[in-house]
Amino acid sequence: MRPLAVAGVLAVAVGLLAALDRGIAAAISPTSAVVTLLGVLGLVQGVRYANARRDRRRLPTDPGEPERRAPAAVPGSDLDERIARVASAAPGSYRDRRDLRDRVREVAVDAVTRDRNCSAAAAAAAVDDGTWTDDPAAAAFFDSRSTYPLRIRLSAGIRGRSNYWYGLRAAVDEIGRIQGGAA
Amino acid sequence: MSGAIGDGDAAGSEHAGDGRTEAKTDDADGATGARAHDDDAVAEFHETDARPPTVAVVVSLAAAGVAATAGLVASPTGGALLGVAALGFLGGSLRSSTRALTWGAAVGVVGLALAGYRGAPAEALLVAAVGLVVAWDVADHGVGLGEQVGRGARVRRNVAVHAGASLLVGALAAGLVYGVSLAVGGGQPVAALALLLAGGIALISALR
Amino acid sequence: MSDPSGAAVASESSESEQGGAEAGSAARKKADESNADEANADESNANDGVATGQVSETTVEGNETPGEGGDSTATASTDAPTDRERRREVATDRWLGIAGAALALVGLGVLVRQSSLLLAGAVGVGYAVYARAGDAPTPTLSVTRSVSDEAPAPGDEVRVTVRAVNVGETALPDLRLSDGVPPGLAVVDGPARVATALRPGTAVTFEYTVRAARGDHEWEPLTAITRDAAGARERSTALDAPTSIACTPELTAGGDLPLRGLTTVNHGRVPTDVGGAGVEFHATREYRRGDPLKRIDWNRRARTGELSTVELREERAATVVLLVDARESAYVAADPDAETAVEASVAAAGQAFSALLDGGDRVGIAALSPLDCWLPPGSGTVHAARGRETLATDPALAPTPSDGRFYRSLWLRRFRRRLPVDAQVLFFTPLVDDTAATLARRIDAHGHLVTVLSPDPTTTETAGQRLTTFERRQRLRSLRSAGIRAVEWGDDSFPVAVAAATRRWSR
Repeated sequence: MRPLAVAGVLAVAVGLLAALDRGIAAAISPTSAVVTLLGVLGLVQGVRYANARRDRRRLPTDPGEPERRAPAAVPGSDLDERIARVASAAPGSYRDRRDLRDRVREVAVDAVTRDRNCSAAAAAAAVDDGTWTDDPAAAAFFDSRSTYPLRIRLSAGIRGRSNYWYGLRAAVDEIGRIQGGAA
Repeated sequence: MSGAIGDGDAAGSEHAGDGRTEAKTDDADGATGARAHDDDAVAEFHETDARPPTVAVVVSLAAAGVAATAGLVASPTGGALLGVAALGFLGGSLRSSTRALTWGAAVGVVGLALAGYRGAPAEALLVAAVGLVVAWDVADHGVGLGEQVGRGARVRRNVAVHAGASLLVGALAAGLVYGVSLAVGGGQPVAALALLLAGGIALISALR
Repeated sequence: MSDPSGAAVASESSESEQGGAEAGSAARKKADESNADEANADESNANDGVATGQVSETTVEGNETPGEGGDSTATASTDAPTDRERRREVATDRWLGIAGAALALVGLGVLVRQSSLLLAGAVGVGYAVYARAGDAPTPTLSVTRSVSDEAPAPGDEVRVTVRAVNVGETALPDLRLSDGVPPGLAVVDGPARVATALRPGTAVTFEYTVRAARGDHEWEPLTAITRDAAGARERSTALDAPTSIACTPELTAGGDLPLRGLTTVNHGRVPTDVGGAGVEFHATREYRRGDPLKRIDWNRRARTGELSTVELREERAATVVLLVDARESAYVAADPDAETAVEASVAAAGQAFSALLDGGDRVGIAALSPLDCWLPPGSGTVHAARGRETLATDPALAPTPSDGRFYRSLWLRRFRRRLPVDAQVLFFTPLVDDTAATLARRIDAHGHLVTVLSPDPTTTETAGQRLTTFERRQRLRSLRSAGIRAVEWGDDSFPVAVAAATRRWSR
């Protein structure tokens, strides 16, 4: 790069001299073709360099929002983040899914126990075989043998979400309904 | 005596400031109503307005208007493109988008090229060029200010200094090249231009 | 700094030399403002021509009364540069591509043989040089921050005035200041920021209003962002100007708080077989001179005409420890901008504290927090003041979560060691995790009467929030079925919830 810079400085210097002294200009006297070529080169290179702006990454200092009081966490927002992580149709995150399912199951068993006034074991059995609810999606969430209804599977396929996500929401809604009835 | 002026100045402007913020809150979301309840702290907070300050948008539009007018004098098409650039600056400012501002500037440069190609006089083209750069510069500066200090903050002096410096640089550069072109005279020292261009290409390539 | 006032005077007068040169600009500025919608103001050259030492001296002395009426000059400026910490310097790349555009115009000009395009391109080269020439200056500022009230009551509006003087040698063509408002305070009027340009010796002042909330609030460093004139480089600097306010709520005399039900039933306030003052009927006896009027049995008097006095069962004072959950998980609210459960807990604990103290009990305070907080049970006015102080400003009960990890077993061991044997515990917790419920059981298992008082921070919009709500309800139920009394309150106030609960228990 350095020789190029030296050449550039030289060319500019001689050019300035030539602008001031016609004698030097006459001595160089490039042909019209050379001048046109230089013009094209300048235009093309110029557009290329200006195009570098497309790759610009802006990283200005962000002073944040000092006026705002430190926002409080909303209970369950951490869970929502976890649910969103496992919501994608991609497999994996198996452990996360199992942990979440266990948490929902515990609440479901408790709700059914009180709703039907039965033993915890009976409630757990009902939850596991899907008889605890009329909602097929909620049932399928815990029961590996039953399948999600076609409507859910279609919707999951189109939106790129997992059946799991629909099942979890259905189960949580169902628990809400049962608890609402019990209370 | 001048001290008295200074003090009155400060006090007066602060009152103006208070009134304005108050009024703004009122139209924004009626948060003043919530303010009446001391125990209701929820509705108090209002989002910082991150749009560019009005003064920056206005200065930018004024500069772009000058550029478009100068362009119209030279060539209707070129002037029209510079007008489009002005609209781009307005849109970019309203949406806080520096990308839109860049596109506006690009359209403006094409307008300059077109006006020049149509044989615009050097004076008009120089005014249009400086106006375009100042308009973009102030608009972009305004977006940055909006992000960092927000629309509600006091920014006039900052914008004035920035716009002034930008205009000064443009005026100096335009005056210099115009003076040189006058000194060189009507004759076209093609060799000198070719050498300068070649040197410029080499230097920019080397320094990137 | 041995003679601050003298130093201030000296520097003020050196500033005023600058001010004299700017008298004209002040007048121009005034003209600007008259048609301005912007809240422009006093980039006031600190002293815009306030040239006499006498004036600056009154300024220094008069700083006890920061003006309400817009007179913001009442701040002492010692004009020593404020401690600063450089944060980062970056290229903004604002002008990226200008050289290319210039080159393209020149190239086109050569191509089509139009000299006017060459000139326009040359102007672009001028801007390209301009963009490369500068460097973002490091600001040397003297920052003073003053507050209208250093010990406000909760809900008060506190006016904050920040003044920054450029005491360095270099001009700051582009300076943006963003104040480090304490995270526990909300600004209710005006942004806490300003953007300006400062020559050496000039100053900028800006004001905003915060709404005071419980706690000790310390300002964080002010962020100064500087750019060169072209805005091509940007530097951020933190300027530390310590300021703090302490907001200590009055403890409301909780006369309407029916806490007797919470404390009388079990151990703690032990009923004795000695007749005297108390609440429970013991016996009646003949009236003696000096008996309080309100203990005279007026029914019997009406019936038989005899004066007799009711003897009540005397009680021993209970020992109660108010335990507030202030772990990071307890800083939750149904809305991000609402009061956290910790605030609700502390407010309720304050009511309980004064109610119990008024009832003659011995009350202590502890926090479930990574930081240690323990006020041993006591009584009396001095103790009341200490309790109020602890609830308001103890770092463990700060309005925002404290750093550090919470070790449950370590905490429990220490708590048990301190807890008097006969003490009962009022445990204030939002109960959003199992740890709180487990601790309540453990303390109960060690023979202390535990009553869980739980502000309800849950909401039911998303699946995760609903699940958390269900889990919390389940926790409450299982605590109750384990024989631990639990009261929750949400929209209704704490005293109402307690009243309802005590009615239920006494049935």
